[in-house]
Amino acid sequence: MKQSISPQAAATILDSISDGVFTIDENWRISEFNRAAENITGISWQEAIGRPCWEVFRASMCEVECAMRRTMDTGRPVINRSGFIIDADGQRIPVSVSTALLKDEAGSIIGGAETFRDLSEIETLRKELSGKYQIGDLVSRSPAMRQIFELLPQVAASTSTVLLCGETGTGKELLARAIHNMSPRSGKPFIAVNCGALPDALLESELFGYKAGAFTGANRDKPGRFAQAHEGTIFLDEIGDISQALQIRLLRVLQEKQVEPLGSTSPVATDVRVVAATNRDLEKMVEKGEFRQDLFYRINVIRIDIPPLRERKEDIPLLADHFVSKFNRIQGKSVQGVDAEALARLMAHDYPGNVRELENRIEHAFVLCSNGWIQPGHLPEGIGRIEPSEIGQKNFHEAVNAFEAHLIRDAMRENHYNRLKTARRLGIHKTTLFRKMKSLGIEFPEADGRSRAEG
Amino acid sequence: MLCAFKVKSLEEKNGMKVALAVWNGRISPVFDVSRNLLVIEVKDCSIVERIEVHFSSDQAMHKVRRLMEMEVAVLLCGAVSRQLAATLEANGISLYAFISGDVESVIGEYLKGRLPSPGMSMPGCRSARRRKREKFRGKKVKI
Repeated sequence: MKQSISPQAAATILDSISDGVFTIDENWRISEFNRAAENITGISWQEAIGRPCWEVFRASMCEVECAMRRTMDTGRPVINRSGFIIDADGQRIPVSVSTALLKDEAGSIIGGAETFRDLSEIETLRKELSGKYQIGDLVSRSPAMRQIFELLPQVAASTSTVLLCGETGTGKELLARAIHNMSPRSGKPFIAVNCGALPDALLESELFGYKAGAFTGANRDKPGRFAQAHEGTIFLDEIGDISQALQIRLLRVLQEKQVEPLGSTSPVATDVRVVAATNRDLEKMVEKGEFRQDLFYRINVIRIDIPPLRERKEDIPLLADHFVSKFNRIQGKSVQGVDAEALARLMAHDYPGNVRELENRIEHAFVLCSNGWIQPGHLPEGIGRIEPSEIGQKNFHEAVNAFEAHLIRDAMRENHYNRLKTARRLGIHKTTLFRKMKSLGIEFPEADGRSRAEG
Repeated sequence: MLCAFKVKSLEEKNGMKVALAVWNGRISPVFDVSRNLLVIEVKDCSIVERIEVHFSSDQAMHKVRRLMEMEVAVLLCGAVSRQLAATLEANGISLYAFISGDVESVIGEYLKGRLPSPGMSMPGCRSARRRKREKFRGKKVKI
C-alpha cells in the first residue's frame, strides 16, 4: 500500500541518496534537487530550484536526446544512459542518467524525476585498467607520458611556440603532428624540416625561399618552408644544430612574424605556429654560447620533455602490440603478438634508439614471422640476450666480465662503433670505456665510427 | 575563469560578428554539443546581417575552425567545457559563457552592453560555495 510522506521526510530521503536526484514540474522547472546533485553539479539547491532543468543539469543529451523528454513521450523510464554534464567550474563530468515519470494520486503526470551518477572515478579506473593513452601513433601507459597527453589539448589550443626535448626516436615528430592535428590549424599544412640534415646555406633557402636571380641557378622563385606552412605549423627538428647566423634570422622571423626570401627586398608576412625539437641540451649550449639566449627564450615558451623508452619500460608490451597491429595492417599478415619469452627479451633491452628502435625490431621480426606469435628467434641478434655460452660455468668475476663485454659489444654495434657515443650510451667516460675494453680484450674494428657526426 | 565575463565597450562592437549558440529560440545549454549558430553582424550597435549556421560535427576543433573562418569575434553561449573555452580564447574569440535566456532578449542585452547580467546567467556561476539548505522545502511527493 502506498503511503504519503511529509516533504521534510522526502527531502531527507533524497539527501541520503548518493546519486544526484532532481525532479521537474510540468513546466520543466526544477522542483527538487538533492545534496548529491548539488555536489556533482556544483550548483546549490537555492540556485537550482525553479530554473529550467537544462540550465541546471547542462547535459550533453539535453539538446538532442533528452532522456526525460523520451520518458515523457513514451511513458517508459530510461535507465543508465551515458553522457556528460558541465559543472559550475566548466569541468566535463561523465554521468549515467535514469529518468521516471512523477504522477499524482489520480495518476496524472505532474513532472519527472531524474537520477544521475558521477562516473568520473569509474572512468578514471577504466582508463587505468586498460592503461592505454593513445594519440595517433603515440601509445603509453606511463604516468610521465600521461601527463603529456593530458596537457596536449591545451598546448594545441594555444598559439605559443613549443619546444619538444627528447632523445632520438622518442617520437618528437609524432608529438608535433599530434599538436598540429589537435589545433585549429589542423586543416592547414604541417611542414617538417630537419635542420640538422642540411648545410647552412641550403637550410636558409629551404626555410625562407628565394627569388629568381638570387644566386646562380635560381631561375625562378621558390617559396620557403615557412611560406608553405602559412596558417599551419612548421616543425623544426634538431633546432640545436643550426648555425649562429641562421639563429639570428630565425629569431627575426619569430619576433616579427615576417620572412625575407633570399634576394627579396621586402619581407613577407607569415602566420605560422612553430614547434621546435632537439635532442641536445639547449640550456648548456646557451651557457657555452653555442645557442643564442634570446632565441632559446623565444622557442622555449612551452617545453615538453619526452622521456626515453628505457625510463618507461612499462610501455614496451603496449607499444609492441601497437606495432604488431600496425604491421599486420600494412603487410596483410596475421601475427598474433609477441610471446612471453620474446617480450622478456624486448623488455631487457635499453633502447638507445627508443621507440623507433623497438618499431624496427618488431618490423624485423615480421620478416621472419608471418603468423602466430613472435618468438625470440624472430628478434634481431643482440636483443636483451646474453648467450648461455658467454656465462657458462664461470665464476662470479668471469661472469661479470662476460656481462660487461656483452654490454659494451652491444653498445658499440648500436652506435656504429663510434667510441664517444658508445661511452655516452653506457653512461661512462670514454677513458673508462677504453680501459674496460682493454682489460676485456675488446677491440674496435679498423673502420670505426669516429668520423660519424655526433647526434 | 568561465564566469569572469569580459566587459566590452560598445565601440568595440562596431562592425563585428557575434555568434550565438541557439536551440529552440533559446541559448543552447551546452556549447560542446550544440549544432546551431546564429551569427549576427553588428555595426553602430545595430544588427546589419543575420545568418544561421549549422555545425556538421561536434568536434571542438571543427567548431573553432568554423568560427574562425566566419571571422566571429564574440561567442555568446551556454555552458562550455574549460578545454573548449580555452581553445576559443586562445584563438582570439571573446567568450560570454554560461548565458541563458531566449535569443532575442540576449541579443538585446548584449547590444545595450548589459551582458553579463545576473538575470541571464546560468545557475552556479555567481558562487561556487554551498549555501545553507532550507528545511521543509519542496512539494509533497509520492514515493
